[in-house]
Amino acid sequence: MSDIKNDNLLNLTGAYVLHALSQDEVEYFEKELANSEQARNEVVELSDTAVMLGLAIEPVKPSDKLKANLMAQVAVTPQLEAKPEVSAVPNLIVVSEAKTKATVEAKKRWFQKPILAGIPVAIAASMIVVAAVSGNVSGVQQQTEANNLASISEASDNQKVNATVQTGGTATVMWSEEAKSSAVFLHDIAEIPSDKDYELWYISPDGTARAAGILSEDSLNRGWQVLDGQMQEGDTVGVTVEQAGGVQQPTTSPVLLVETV
Amino acid sequence: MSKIETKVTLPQVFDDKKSQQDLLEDIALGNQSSFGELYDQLSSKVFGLILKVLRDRAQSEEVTQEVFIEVWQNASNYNPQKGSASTWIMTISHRKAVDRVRSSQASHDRDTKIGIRDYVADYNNVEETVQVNLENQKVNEALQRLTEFQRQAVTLSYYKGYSHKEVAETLKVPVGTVKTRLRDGMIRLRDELGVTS
Repeated sequence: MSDIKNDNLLNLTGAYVLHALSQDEVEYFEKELANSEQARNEVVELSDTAVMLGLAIEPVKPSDKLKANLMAQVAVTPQLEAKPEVSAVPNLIVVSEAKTKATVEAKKRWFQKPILAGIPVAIAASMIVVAAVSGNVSGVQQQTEANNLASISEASDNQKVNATVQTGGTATVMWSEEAKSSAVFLHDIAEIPSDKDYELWYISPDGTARAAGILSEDSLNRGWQVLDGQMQEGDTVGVTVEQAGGVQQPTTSPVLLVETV
Repeated sequence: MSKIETKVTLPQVFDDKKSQQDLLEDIALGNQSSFGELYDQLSSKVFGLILKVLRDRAQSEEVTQEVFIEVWQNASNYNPQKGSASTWIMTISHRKAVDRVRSSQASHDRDTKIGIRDYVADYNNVEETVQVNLENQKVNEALQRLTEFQRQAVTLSYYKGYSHKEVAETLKVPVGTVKTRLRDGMIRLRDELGVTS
């Protein structure tokens, strides 16, 4: 590298570590950096110096909701390019298409009714960009829910299945028999009229449905909810659209069914 | 009141405060609870920095979330030889905060809606603009040892997310001069703070 070019490159180190360069300049700089050990060393030292400027700022605690969102998000976010020696990723369960049972054979007596139609399509929740929405659930409750979710995602027998929601969008059901619990993650599911709610169910093999809560607005915003009650062996997780506030027994055909086997 | 020194060796099971590097290694293996622990250790620092640059709390939480998702996704690419875990994460945090400032600029809503910065700050207002109250006395003192021009350039770009062009406009000096000041200022800070690689 010529001295002039090296000097030009060195002249950019400060602006580079402060993220003050334009995108074009960053690309140029990073490409040229390969040719100058001096510039590389300087960048390392000045980056560390910039971090000291950052660490000198008074820390501010973000809301508890943010952690709950993140824990939910990492539970369904794949990691990138693990190094060869760490290629076995124990907690990252690959969704098995073979196990997906978006529509289960009509062995449950109330499945036969027609799917509720005419629900307006809108983006209700997205797992990838969980917007910072002000919820009305307390931080403590959020934390409890995040802990419940963590107990499922950290269980050694944790499994996940993706399925399509019949009214629009997709869902991932994650469960653990060990934890006797399951959670549903929602992706772009349809908004429903204000006099309706999505209701969650555990359905035993004989077709008996146990109410497992309604999807709260907070859950729709953050994109996941842990089902109420205990999951039992052989249960199917179901979702129906019901009158606001929920009902004791399902009255409509499920928009989502996933067998936990 | 004097403090009685006791030496107790706790069994491994009680040693629940793992180093950030260990946590990142666990995270690279997909360990979600280690991720939660690392978040607990660093989120206030990350959020404090991003909030300093963006000022807007809701946007800062969004960016904080992006930072930690990047940490989760890229944990296996973290190389401890290139710096500590907090250095890695704080660098990501600053870059993402600055990216957000720039994208807000692109959508023209930063001044009217967000008030991220006073875009037409004239020179007389600069001194006020670059006032930073740092907790860390050592860093404060090191900043005071820069020339006024160096300090303004460094603080405008680091704490306000200004590009070198914006720094140049604000301080009414050529862009080339700003680049030099940023470098000289950072080198001076490095030496004052005793940073070596």
